[in-house]
Amino acid sequence: MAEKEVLLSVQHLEQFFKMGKQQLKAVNDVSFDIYKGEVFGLVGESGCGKTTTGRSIIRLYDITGGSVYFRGQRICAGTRRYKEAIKVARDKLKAQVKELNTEKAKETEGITDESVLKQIEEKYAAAIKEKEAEFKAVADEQSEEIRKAKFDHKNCNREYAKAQQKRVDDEYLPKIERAGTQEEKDALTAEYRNARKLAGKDRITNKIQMIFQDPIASLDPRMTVREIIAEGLVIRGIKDKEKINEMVFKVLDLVGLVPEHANRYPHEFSGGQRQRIGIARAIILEPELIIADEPISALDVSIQAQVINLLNELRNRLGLTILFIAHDLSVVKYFSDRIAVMYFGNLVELTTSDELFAHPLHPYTKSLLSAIPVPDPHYEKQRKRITYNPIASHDYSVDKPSLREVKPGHYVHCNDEEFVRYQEELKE
Amino acid sequence: MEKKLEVKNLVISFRTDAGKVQAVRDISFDLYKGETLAIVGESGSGKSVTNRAVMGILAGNGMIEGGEIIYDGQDLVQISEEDFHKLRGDKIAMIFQDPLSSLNPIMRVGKQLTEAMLLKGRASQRNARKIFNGKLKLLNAAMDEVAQGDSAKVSENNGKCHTFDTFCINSTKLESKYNEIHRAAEELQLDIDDCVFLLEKKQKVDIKAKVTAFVKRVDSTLHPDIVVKDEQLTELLAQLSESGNVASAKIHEGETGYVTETLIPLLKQLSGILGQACAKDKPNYFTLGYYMMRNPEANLDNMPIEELTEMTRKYLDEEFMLGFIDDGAQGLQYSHNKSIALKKELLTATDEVLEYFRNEQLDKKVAYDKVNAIAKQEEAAIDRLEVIKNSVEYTFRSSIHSALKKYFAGLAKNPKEERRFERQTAKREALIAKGKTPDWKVVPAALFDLELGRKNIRAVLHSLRASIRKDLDSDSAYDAKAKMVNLIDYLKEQASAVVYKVTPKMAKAKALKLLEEVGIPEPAIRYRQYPFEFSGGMRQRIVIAIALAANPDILICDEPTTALDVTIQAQILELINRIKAERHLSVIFITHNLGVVANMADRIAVMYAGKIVEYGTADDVFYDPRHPYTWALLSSMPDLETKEKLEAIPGTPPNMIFPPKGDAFAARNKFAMEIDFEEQPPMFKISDTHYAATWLLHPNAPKVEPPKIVTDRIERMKKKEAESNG
Repeated sequence: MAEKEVLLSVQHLEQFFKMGKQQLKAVNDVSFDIYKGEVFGLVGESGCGKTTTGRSIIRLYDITGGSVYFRGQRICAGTRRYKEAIKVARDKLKAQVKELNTEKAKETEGITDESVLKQIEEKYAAAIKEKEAEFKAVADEQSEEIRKAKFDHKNCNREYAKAQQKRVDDEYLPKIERAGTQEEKDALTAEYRNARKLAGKDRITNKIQMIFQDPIASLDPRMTVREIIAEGLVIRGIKDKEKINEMVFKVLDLVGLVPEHANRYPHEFSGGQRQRIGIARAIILEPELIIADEPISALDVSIQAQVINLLNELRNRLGLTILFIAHDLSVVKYFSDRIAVMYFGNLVELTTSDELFAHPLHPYTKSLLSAIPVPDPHYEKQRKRITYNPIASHDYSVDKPSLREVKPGHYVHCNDEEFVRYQEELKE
Repeated sequence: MEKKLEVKNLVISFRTDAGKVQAVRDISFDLYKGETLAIVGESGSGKSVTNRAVMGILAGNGMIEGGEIIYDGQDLVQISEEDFHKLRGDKIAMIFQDPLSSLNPIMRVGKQLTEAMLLKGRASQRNARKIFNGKLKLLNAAMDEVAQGDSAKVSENNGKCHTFDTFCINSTKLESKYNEIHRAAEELQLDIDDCVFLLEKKQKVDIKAKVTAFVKRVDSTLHPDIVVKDEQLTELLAQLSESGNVASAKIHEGETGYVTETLIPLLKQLSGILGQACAKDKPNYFTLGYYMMRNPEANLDNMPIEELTEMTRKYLDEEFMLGFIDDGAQGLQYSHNKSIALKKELLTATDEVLEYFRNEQLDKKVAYDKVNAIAKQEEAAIDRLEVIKNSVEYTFRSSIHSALKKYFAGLAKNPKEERRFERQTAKREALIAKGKTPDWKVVPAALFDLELGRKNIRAVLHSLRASIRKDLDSDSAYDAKAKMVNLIDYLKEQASAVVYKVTPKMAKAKALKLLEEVGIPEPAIRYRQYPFEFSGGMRQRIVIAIALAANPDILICDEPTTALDVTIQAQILELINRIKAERHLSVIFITHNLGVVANMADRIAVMYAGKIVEYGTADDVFYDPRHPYTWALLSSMPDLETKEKLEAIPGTPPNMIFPPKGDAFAARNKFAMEIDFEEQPPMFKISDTHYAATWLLHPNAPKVEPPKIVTDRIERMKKKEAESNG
């Protein structure tokens, strides 16, 4: 596992929404890595924040805290953690100053000698200054982090484009230099300009694409299939119609549609075909990571199989990495290499799919697994569904939980006492 | 088993600009009491359309072209909208796929829940009273006829019926009061247990308010047969309200010891008292009511319940019941004999009419005269004291009239239609001859098959004849006494509906209970919210609660869990299963997901392109599927052990404006044979419960194995079952 290249790394992701005075913690401190070429399943009940996680990664929301690294570069960053750290430090400072003042009052009590008083005063003033300096150091450090995060969040695409342009420069400039005749030089210069312009519009976030749940709602009814699929290319700055057509036909072929479909409108297609159009739109920009947000929940069972087979085939052919968000566990099990289970904004368990189904540890995972319907009437009639009640299952009043590695590659959200218990459970 | 709903040869199509879409093509199924029938198929297979027809909510351009839907002795295809209005939602309720669109966005959830209950309350009371009086009157008349003019006997009979009426209603009133209080006690106990649970887990609880509410609510549970307010209870309540105050003060100071040491034991004690009270036997109010009516002064509060039941029962039997049953049974026997005699005559008359309808040419007047005469005779022959209505007998007139109407309408329309077709064809050919290319097509002549029309008329008569024969055959097994007991039970049921009155306050209480029953936490808060404030699963629960509010007989679930995730889906399915068992509902469950069905269904109908292609018990369909479409459905979904590539069904369902000539599934079927493209397969019988429409079952067909993914799974399932059985 360790040798695999990390494609996407999500660290302490937080996404809070304002609800009047309250805050809705949709995603609360979620961390995971996605390796290149794998299918990473994200499951949980509706409202647990799995879609929000997907959307935060692709920057449809500005995240509240944490960072997301794609190919080693930070593509989104939030500042809440740093601000929180400053606030904690300030509170600590206030408490310390208050404490020192009370100590001082105690010490000065009953003393009338002015020189002694002055001495004590000075001693405490120095101590307070020291504490303030400590706080300032912390605050400066965190402010720097905030500045960095804001910069990364705003400029990651520009930085990427600059890097791409530099690559183009490195490729063409020597060539132009070496070119013999003037015509050759002119041709190369024109090519170079074009490539540099395209590189300037390149974004790192283009390498992440999304497939949406509802194929009807996510396609513009007034655009033809060609326009829908080519829209990304046009925004990218490609104007050559023939090239666009060529690429559109190629992806249509990839997703199992025919070129004639390009001139039709979305309403002329069936549900499964519409989802294929959504997939074509996602893969035309040659992404490395696809976020598939419940791509099959809105489809008939027979069509679901078609779409899953298609995604599987594309993955093998294009070497895609897929973040597969779904709630149908049997499909996730069939399709994913590793699975993360979410519950109310927290990641509660993360491991390979076989391990998850063989040794589920967290009580929520167990309840989720026990709810899967199986096409076997006799088994179904005996099936006992386990219910999960966080109040009854955990006692987190003293020891706060966090995501810990119970076994290599198997992470569970637990506290110390549960950690030991889970390890014993695994040994059995 | 009692049949709740029969669908026979239903044909439904939709008029559209492009032509007539044949959504449902001749399907038949039965629904028994307390069972779940699952209808499985892809979208567009006609499963929803069928059930919308049962609900009487087909879209405006939909038309029922043939067939019958029989519920409670009525043909739902024939009855007026006025009559349908009484059934819809009340007797047959439906849960829709999309919970958001089936709720009113600008009405609070509570109002939507109670609306139907309040509207329905008075109407159902009146209705039940009507049924009760009607049946009793019929019984009285039958008993009078037995007396044969003996005026003393007649007045005695009248007296008996009157007594029965009075005490039946009175005792039901007593019982409903008891039930209400019993329910209040149970609820209080549950709430106290919840509160104790939270306190033990150190959760935040408004102790003072809760305890005060508990103490207050104890008053509403007082009843001589449930909770009795003795000294112990009074003392406990006093202690409790005092310690509630103390505990809430101590909590403010941050001290939790008092709660665990004093308050929780007190609450537990109260819960224990309530638990004991609820577990007490229920007195038999039917007998007690009679005793109270005769001896209004008697004080029975301190009598042990067993003794009380014994005593009142004996009293009732000796004083009244045995005599009433005897007399009633004689009346029933008389009415039955009369009906049998009439039916014997009817049988010969039916044969005569049947003979007339074998003619090629039918005269409208003669046909109607004959039919009216036999319908009159048939209606006279019905034994109206039977509790379970025989659907064939009760719907005979409407069925045969609709068949006749269709036949004569077709007879009148066919020549016109032919002429139109000829005219249009000629016009088109003339245009083509001129060298023009017309941009319109000739609509093919929709001719009514007259032979089929006559056959339908005969089929109605045949079924009447079969039903009469069955009655005559089972004549010897008629047990008047048992029937009388059944009738009394039925009247008791109706009496409870007469007494059951819904006030706004009760409706609210019932709505809160329903909300809780369907698994919505904090129902009191939720009651006041709007649908948009709920999550998807919660919304679906509300829709279920509304469907259940009217206490329906039949619940139609149209993909209720498709929009929900696994845990919620499992909860909703369990909920439907539980409610089904509790209320003896019959459920029609529509879905495209076979995994969901395994848990729910007793029987399964697989539909494709408007036809049922396979029909059997859940075991039949899952362990021994026969139709290639069922195989395809099973193999296209992964289960937890699937590793190999899924076998998706290629292509899409056929266009139902031009349904294929042969088997509709042939074009997507890799096992299709030549005959599949030419002729529709009939239903082949595999076992008594299992049918499938595929030519593969024909004796001359080649042996075909189901796909490997299916056989493997069945193998695995069998192995697993063998293991679990040891």
